[in-house]
Amino acid sequence: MPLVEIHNAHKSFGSLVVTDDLSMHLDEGEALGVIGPNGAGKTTLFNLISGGLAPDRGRVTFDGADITGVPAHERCCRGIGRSHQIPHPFVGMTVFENLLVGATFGTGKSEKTCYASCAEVLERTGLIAKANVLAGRLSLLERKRLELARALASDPRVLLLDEIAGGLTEQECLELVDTIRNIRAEGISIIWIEHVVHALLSVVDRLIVINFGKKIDDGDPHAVMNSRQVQEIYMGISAE
Amino acid sequence: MANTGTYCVTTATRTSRIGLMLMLAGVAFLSLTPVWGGRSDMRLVVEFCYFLALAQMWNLLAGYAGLVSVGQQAFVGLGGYALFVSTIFMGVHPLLALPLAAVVAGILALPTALIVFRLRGAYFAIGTWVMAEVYRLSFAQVSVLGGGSGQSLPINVIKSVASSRSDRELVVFAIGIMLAVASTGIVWWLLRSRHGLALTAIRDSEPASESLGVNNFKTKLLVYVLAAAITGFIGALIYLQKFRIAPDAAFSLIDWTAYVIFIVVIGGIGRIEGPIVGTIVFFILREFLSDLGSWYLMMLGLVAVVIMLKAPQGIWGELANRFDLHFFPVQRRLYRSDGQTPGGSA
Repeated sequence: MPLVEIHNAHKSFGSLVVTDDLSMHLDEGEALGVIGPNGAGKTTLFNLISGGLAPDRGRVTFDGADITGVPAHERCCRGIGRSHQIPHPFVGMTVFENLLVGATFGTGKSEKTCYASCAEVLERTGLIAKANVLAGRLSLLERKRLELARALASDPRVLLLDEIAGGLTEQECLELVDTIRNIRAEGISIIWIEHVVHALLSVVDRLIVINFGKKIDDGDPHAVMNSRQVQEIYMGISAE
Repeated sequence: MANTGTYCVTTATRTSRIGLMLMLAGVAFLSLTPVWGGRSDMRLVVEFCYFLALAQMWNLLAGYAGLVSVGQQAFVGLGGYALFVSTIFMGVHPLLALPLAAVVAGILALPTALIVFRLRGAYFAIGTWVMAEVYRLSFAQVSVLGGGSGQSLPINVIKSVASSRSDRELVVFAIGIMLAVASTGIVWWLLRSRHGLALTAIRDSEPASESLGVNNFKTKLLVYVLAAAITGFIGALIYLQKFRIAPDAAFSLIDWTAYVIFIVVIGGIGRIEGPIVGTIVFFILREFLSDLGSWYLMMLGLVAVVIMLKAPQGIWGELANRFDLHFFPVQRRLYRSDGQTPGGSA
């Protein structure tokens, strides 16, 4: 049974169709990559899974249960963690407190029992040296790490990463890939939207391609990258 | 890499003990007003206390939950009228009517919230104002409560507080002091609890808090109802001191919300110390300038504009940033148990 499944989801804003009869699934323990041009509907896909948006038609299931009508905060408690494309740090709280929010509300445990797990996540994500710094004072890389760390603190079964490598230097990107690989090795399933394709390909088992709200390819990452349709979308090569 | 078992967390800071001492000294000084001051000083201190309490509640709403209400006068008025209705028509003892007013305001906050919570930002602000006007106009229609011209507390009700005038004033004074201390204490306790984490998270980013498991709606509703209940209590105390209530005064936007916003903004929004500093500054300005008539309001406006431009975080915000002061620390700092901090100060 897949961990996350979307059945024929449809979403439009007025006349703009952002998700068009899209179906997909993620197996437990799998790392799935999502690519597609800007405006293709990738972040909308994440919003459908995490609960930021409700589909006009179609269903979303998690661990076998229909969660289409479940609010976002409860989906987090059930095990869906996400990072935002544009970091949303709690700027007036310290890095440690940012994690505490995810840990206490995402797991339902008391605050004190979460201290140790938060410190551990800070160590794993390389933020321990910034534990008591206000999140508003972090650099871009640190903010991206914080997005990741905060979602991890909520003890997710699946982690949705939205363009977490964008805007980073090569070295920063390598470090991040390393962190994500470790997270995966702990058994957390991952769906990763990314334009930095080489980073993505070094982690994921499977790749799906979205364009104009439709899924146009799904399969082995390298086969998908070499497919004609993907080449057309990205390189503008005509099919003839 | 250090074992995570060796970490501990504290909220205390270097300055928090100094702050606590200062606060205790302040409370002691005000509590001893009957010893060092006269009747008018006591009235002034009670007024100081209820403005401080109102400011703490507004700061909790606007500074933490992001609920910029300009309709808190609704709950002052409801609390005041709850006192009058319950004592005059139901024979409730006035001191019991104070917590009852809190319950009434808290219950009426629920349907009010159902309406105004559908609105966002500026529309929410206007919505709360409209709701307060609805309450004001409704009470002006009730002829048994004196309609638009209002009503006085009957002498037997007043006497049931205490038989002599000085004893009554002492009772109101004591409740005022407790109210100021309790409202500050409740906000501090709330912010140090897990609700505080949720509230601060909501203040900084609603989409992020929701996706980390915080029930934004429930958290805001809790704060709205709590603030309404305490504001209702304050309203009842105000009108127990004034003895006379009328809709225009009880639901006054200027008296119970505009001045309160001024206090919080100049003191420092989103900090517990802000309302305290703001109330002190407000009372100093009022004592020196209130003889100037309409110039007084213009001066207040000028002070507000200058502070918003020069110190957008308010007087306390500037001081706290410059000297790293945290009199009411709510920040959770992570330490290694060997005493080293893992990473920088905030």
